[in-house]
Amino acid sequence: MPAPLLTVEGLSHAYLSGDSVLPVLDDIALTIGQREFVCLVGPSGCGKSTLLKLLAGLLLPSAGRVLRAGQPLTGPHPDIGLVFQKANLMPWRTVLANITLPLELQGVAPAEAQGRAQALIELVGLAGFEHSLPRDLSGGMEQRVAIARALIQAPEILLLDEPFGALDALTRERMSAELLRLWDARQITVVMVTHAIAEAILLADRVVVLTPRPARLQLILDIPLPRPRHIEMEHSPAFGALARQVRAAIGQAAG
Amino acid sequence: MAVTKSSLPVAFSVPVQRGRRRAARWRRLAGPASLVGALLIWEAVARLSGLPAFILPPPTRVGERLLLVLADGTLGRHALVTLFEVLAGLGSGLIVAAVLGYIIAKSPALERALTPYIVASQSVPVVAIAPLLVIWLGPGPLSKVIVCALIVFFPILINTVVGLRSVEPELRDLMRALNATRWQTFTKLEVPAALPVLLGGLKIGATLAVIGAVVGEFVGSDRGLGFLVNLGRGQYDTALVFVAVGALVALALSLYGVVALLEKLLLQWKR
Ligand SMILES: Nc1ncnc2c1ncn2[C@@H]1O[C@H](COP(=O)(O)OP(=O)(O)OP(=O)(O)O)[C@@H](O)[C@H]1O
Ligand SMILES: [Mg+2]
Repeated sequence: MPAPLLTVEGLSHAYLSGDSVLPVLDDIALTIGQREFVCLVGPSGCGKSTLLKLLAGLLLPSAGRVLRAGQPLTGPHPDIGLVFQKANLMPWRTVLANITLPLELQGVAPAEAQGRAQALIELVGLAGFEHSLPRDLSGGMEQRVAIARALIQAPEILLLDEPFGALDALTRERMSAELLRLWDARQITVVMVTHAIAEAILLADRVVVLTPRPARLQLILDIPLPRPRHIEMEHSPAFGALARQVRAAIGQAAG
Repeated sequence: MAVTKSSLPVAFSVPVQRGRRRAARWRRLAGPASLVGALLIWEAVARLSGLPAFILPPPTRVGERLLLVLADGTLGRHALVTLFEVLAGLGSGLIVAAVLGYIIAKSPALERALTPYIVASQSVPVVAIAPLLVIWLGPGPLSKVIVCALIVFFPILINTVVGLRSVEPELRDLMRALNATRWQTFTKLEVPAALPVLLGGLKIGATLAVIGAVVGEFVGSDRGLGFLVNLGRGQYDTALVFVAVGALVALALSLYGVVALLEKLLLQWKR
């Protein structure tokens, strides 16, 4: 296994709202290596987005810690890019301006920022739409913008929260193939939340199954399918066996 | 066969287009036409009813009066005074309301502390305290500026708070994930996101400010379009009253137009 890039130790989280405490994550331990592709699956509302926000440094855990390259994570870090559950674009900014936003906030010169954005726009297949506004984009195009924006600081780690959740099946397949291509081209580590079992197996090196809230680890499953992967693999017996294992784990977790 | 196929849509579309063009031309003329019609009726009523000119001057007489006060600079002088009062009042009211609105939107504790006073202050009719302001601050423009500011304060405050509350929490998360400073979050997220609602408040404020200035001038002043209305009334110069009222309408409309133009320029992304 490659050297750990992201380590999660005894991670627990609870939301406080008024007097009530809502435990969401319970004692999660996980090690993610460089260049790894990890998918998180689990029932709705179990705490997947919360775990991703903790990995992004957007939330501080109630207990335990997250280490990035051996250093405790104390807040958002430019080496960690996050793609939210919805595209989350600024409607008053063009595609180009949405993608350059992270660099603009870092004080990078506009000319350089635009140059880097242009390369990413081509990578995610949005050439010609640089000056379009989000209202003129389809759902899939919006997600590409969000991914390009998360990649512009050249992060080592890309966190994706159900990035294709709102897309139709065909677009979804195309987008996940493109994500694999990106992962390969940019040599990054990916942690992705999804609720589609087949998608998780097709993309990931390892699939992590969480229990219902408060989420604990139910199963960590290695996916030994060869790469490059393609959609036809879904019909192979090995794929079917892995999918059954994941489905059984989810069923077991649900009790 | 081919001929009929291609000639059918043409034969069909030409009268439709011609009709549409005629309708568009009529729509463009409808506004001016109705204005001319109203003026003609007014002229006829004023002349044929035998009412004296100090009750209902005909539009031709009002027009003559307008040319006169334009020529000797009276109208311009008074209009400038009112314009200054309106702009100064609107500007200062906007600044105070926007700053307070920002603080209230940011701090629930301060909101709870300030809301009773703000609501109570709204039940005091500004028109009723205008005399007090004139007593305290004198008949100069300052008292009118304050009346304007008070009258525009509330709608702009409310719209600032509503606008800031409408900022999506996910976009705030995004700014946090990107390590944005407070100032960056303010200029790159909060201002653009709240701008549509804020400009809506400013539109209301622009017309209210004109009312504020006139109220202040009615109560006590020797300058401004409100003063001109009073002067005309006192001298039975009703045509002058019409001229001053018309100038006030024009002032309010152009302020509204400026804000609407601003909206069009700044909110192109909203279409
Ligand atoms: N900011 C918050 N304050 C209080 N409770 C929250 C907050 N965010 C999430 N929760 C609650 O924590 C639980 C887990 O939420 P989370 O969004 O992490 O789940 P999820 O697994 O991503 O769900 P989904 O599959 O629907 O996206 C839910 O019950 C949710 O209501
Ligand atoms: Mg979620």
